[in-house]
Amino acid sequence: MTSLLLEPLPSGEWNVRLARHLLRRAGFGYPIYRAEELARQGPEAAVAAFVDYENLPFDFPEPDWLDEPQTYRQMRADLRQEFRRRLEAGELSEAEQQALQRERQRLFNELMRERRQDIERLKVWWVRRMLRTPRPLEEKLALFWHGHFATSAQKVRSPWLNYHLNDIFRRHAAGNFKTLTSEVGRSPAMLIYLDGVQNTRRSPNENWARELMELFTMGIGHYTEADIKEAARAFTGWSFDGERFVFHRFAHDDGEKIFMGRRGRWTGLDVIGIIFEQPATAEFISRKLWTHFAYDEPEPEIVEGLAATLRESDYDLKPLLRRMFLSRAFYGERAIGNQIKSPVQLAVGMAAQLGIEPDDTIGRLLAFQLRTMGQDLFYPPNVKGWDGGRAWINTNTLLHRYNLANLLVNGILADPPPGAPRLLRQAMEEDPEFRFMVNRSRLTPGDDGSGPLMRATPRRPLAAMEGDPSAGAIQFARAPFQPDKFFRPAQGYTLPQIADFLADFFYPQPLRADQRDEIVEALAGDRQSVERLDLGRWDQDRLRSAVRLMLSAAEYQLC
Amino acid sequence: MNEPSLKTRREFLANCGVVTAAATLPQFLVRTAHGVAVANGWEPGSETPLPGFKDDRVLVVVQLSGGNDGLNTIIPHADDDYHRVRPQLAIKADQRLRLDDEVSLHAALKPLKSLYDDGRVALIQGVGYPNPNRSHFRSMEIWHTASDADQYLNAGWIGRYFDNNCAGEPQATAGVAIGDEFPQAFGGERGMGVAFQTPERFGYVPGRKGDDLASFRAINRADAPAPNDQVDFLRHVTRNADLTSERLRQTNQRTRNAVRYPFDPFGQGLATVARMIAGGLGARIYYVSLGGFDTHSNQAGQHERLLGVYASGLEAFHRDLTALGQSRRVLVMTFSEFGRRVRQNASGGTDHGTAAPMILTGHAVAGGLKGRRPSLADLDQGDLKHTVDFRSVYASVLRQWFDADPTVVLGRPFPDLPLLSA
Repeated sequence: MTSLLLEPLPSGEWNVRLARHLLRRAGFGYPIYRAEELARQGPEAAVAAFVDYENLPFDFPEPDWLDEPQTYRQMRADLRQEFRRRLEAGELSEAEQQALQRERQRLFNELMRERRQDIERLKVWWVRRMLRTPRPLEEKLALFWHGHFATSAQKVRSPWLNYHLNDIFRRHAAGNFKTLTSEVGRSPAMLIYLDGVQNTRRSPNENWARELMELFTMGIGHYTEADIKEAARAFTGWSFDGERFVFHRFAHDDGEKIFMGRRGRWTGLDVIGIIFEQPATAEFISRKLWTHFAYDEPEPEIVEGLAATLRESDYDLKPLLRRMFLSRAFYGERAIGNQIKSPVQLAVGMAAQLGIEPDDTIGRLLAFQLRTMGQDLFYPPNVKGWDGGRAWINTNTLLHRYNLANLLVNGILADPPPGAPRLLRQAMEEDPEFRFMVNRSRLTPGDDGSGPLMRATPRRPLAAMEGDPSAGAIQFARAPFQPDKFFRPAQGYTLPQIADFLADFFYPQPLRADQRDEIVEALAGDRQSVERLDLGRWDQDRLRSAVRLMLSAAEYQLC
Repeated sequence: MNEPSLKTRREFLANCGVVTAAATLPQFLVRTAHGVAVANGWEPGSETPLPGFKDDRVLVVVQLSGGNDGLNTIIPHADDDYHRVRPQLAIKADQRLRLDDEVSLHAALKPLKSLYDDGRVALIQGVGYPNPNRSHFRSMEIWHTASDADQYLNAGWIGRYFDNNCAGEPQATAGVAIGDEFPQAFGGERGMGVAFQTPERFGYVPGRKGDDLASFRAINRADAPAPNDQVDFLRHVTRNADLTSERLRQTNQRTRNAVRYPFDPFGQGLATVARMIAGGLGARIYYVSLGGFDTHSNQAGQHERLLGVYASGLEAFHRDLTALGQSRRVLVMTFSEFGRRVRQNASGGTDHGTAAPMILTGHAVAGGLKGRRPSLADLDQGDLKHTVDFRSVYASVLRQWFDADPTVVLGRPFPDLPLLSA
């Protein structure tokens, strides 16, 4: 008998508040006016709008500016050959030889630097994709898989291979979990990261086999150390060439293995097959998906129910996703407004909710900020991915979140780290539209914490800021957020009405009375709170302030 | 259950970061021993140690990132092998400062020489760990988490120290890192520690009219009823961040350095640390980094320059501490994630290696050469075999400097070394 928790929410109970919750969890929480539309459609159509995303056309250019994986290896080989030729050709003195060596090293270093830069560009590509997509669940799932099947560009240096794996996550995001697992296991990025390429008959390496079972499928307690050893044997010979999976027959241990009590001359794919016959696998991933989208510590009946759905569909994910997003428990009090947004959820959601144009500049800034907030794309901290939840929050990261709002709403990047001027200058060189002026003044509040905060000083070009530990804040010439369009629906509202309008938009909970007063005060300035908003004549700075304050509240960190 | 007596609470809190008195001390802070002490007339920043605390001691961790070449730092000048395998890279006599018949210092460390002669510098030779890892990322992680080479721990050793030794409200400023990255070493369950580039810019940065600190605080009032636990948690961390920011600003304004520091990020970082210490911020552990040691090619000039930056910054720091009356409280521990290979490579540099020296400096140090010089003849695949496990050094500091139980922090016992004078 199924518990009530996973029972579909009766359509009579469906409303705007629940639709907003769905928007925040299955999407990045925008565009918020979709909530009314989704509310009208009823729960099934609303959920389908997210889950059946392939129905929504989306033409986003692939990063074809990435060099093929062979390119770097080829370039290095060419360089080596060229230098050898020159060495052998002439009678070079020792000094000339050393000069040649230094030159070769310099070119190598530049190559490596270009490669690292390409990963940064890839981050920007992904952020822009997230900002533009009409299929937010696709990107949220791709990100989930990136954290689940974690690999890091620290070890997987090739930008192309990182993209290649990212593409696998996207193509199978809401597809079949078993297929996804096989594809991931055979991807060069994973083969590098968990040493699959080094796993041979003569010298087995257990890294992939262990993490496959411990972190990716069954979880601890459902297999033995002996199983890991036998599985590792089965995976021997898995390798790659460029971006293609290649099987090295001579490196493969084709002997008999006993894996999970089953005896046979198992190959890697056989091992995956056996793993997916274990009940633990469906339970493990069901629990993880529910925790990610709904709430921590799901009730046992939820895990069992979803696991059953997953098994019945032979590991197609959509039935599970649909069941999850339609269930009563998903819309219960444990779920609504209780989840701390990941940095991606926060940053992408903020930019999108503010209606900020998702150009390259914004992509760059957000990718940069994601790192300081603790979620550096393509660089998860270890193979366990990101812990999430309260782990996102400490005094540092929380301040970064509040100051991110300052960046997007007001165009102020305070306390830029030493790398920032160089990074921004590079961006400016590559993208002529990326212009800003630099104000060298210190950004400090007035003594009573009020009033504008930048003392005017002569402008200072960005290049001069590099390497200067006392360099000041960076002020953008044009703030990313433009209040006009955003506040248009609130034209004619009284100030308390505007405060509530903003709260509906940004928060999963209603405002406290004193919070409303704060927002009204920020909006009002000299005016009376009973005045009605006249966009043409209202002080834009006050509109910005109200928004920035709301985004710098604890409530905005939750979805 | 009785409230632990004031004396035991003070002792219990003795090992941690302490809140500096602000003009109005919020209620929950007053309950700490520090709050009580302040209420009884103790002046933050004064020379007299905080009552009940073990001399209000501080550790500054200096991280040399990239893998410092130990062999060219503490030079085995009498060893033929050294000169043989480093024909270009071996440090010549006129670039060395003799310590004894067997070893010298790289001349770039000259600013530290008189400190060494005063017995305030301990050079711990051959520090490493079993099954050394030569990946920057992984080895640094091992040093930060004090794990074995085959263990993967999330919490840092300093974070675990805070978790196990700090009672009462978690103090964000128990640990202070200069830089924009929160060191993994600080990671712990109670989320203590902050990282910033400059103290005056750590905090909520106000925006336009009406978007100011007062409004920010009002909208995030920690004492207002919270709709759920998460909001409550977030408000408390916000409050912590805000208080920390206040504290940092006040501390920074309260003190000036007494000496001039070199104008580079490392020197300036140490200058900030000295101000925080003298200003009574109350942090227990500071963390400063100097990068660029990954000298795969053209090592000679680069390494010399970096050692110079390190030595002149550190020398100024110790001189400043003395002038500010803080030298008895501070111990500096310098490390790198690994050393470099014994043999030089074909690009005028060296590749990733294993064991390397650690350096302790400060008033309380029992100076001189410690540990055993690793052999250049008995190598492990071309790399030095370590003679001291780095966790022994951590353990010695934890026990001898902080009176803490190292086993709890490090997971198992490691032998102490005689690094500090009684």
